[in-house]
Amino acid sequence: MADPPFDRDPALARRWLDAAAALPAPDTPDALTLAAYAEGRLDDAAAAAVEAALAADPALLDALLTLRQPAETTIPSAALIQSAQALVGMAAGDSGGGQAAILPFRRNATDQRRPAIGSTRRWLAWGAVAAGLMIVSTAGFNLGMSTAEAFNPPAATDLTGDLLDPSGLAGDDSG
Amino acid sequence: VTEHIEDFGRLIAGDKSTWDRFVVRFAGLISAAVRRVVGPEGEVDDIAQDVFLRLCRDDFRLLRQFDPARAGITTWLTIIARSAAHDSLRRRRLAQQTLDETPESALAIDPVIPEIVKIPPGLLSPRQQLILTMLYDREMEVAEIADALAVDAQTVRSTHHKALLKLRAHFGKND
Repeated sequence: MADPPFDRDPALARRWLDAAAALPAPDTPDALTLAAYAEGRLDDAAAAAVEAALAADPALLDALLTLRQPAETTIPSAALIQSAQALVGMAAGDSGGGQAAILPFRRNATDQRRPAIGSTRRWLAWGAVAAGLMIVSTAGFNLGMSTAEAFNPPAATDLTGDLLDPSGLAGDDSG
Repeated sequence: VTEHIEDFGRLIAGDKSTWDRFVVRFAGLISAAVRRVVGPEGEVDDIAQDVFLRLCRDDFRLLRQFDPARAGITTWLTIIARSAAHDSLRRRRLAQQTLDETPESALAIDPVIPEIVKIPPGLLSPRQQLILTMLYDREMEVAEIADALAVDAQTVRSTHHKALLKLRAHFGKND
């Protein structure tokens, strides 16, 4: 069978395009249906519904034309990988392979590993440091006192006794 | 990650290590799809991060919509990424648009609507509508259209020819 003649008729087509713009817009297919259409996996009726939407929605048609171009990929930044991976984090008590918790947007991954202020482990660590400081300072004080006494022994005379019994002092004066 | 159905099951169940591998594998594809829409100077990483957030938020609601039996994951992710990039551009445009830039016709209380010839909704088949749109609105070549719709060039010419016959009959009758 011979090909039909291919004569463009811009004026007629423009007339139809203007009129078609006033028609109610068809339902926009979801991403999965458009993907299935692009891969040729839809039956005729489903494909016709997508084509009606493609004719009416320039953005949808752009999406299809993009899919027809060779697939592109770029090397993603390390920051993107890190922040995207941090969107899903381990739930408390999960030892792997279990339920995950969604973390807030753009949370730094290193923040997850930092223990929370007020955790038991942190308080225990600070307590151990304080106890160690007390032991060292007490031992140092005692050692210092012992050294001072060794070099400076207390006087042999008991002045307290003189104050309680002034007679002894008087005797000295007389001699 | 998603070739194996059990992997996809683990992904939407929130398994952290599967999510991490998913991010590493598809971050480049998503970044490339976003870059195609916003250009190299756009906020590619921010929008790509938004795509990952869309995929996992609300207990992986969007990711659960993907069905490996209906379409390939790369096709589907490309559409999702493009959609997120267009949303971002639209939001930025709205934020930047000032009153001065708004065309007067949009501000008019009674905008003048040109009289449009009405056509019945089913006048052309969806494929005829799409081919006329691509030929006359997009000014694409027959070969490009054939590639985009995964049909041969003869089918495009034939569909175009039949569409013009219908339009001539319709408008000739109504003129």
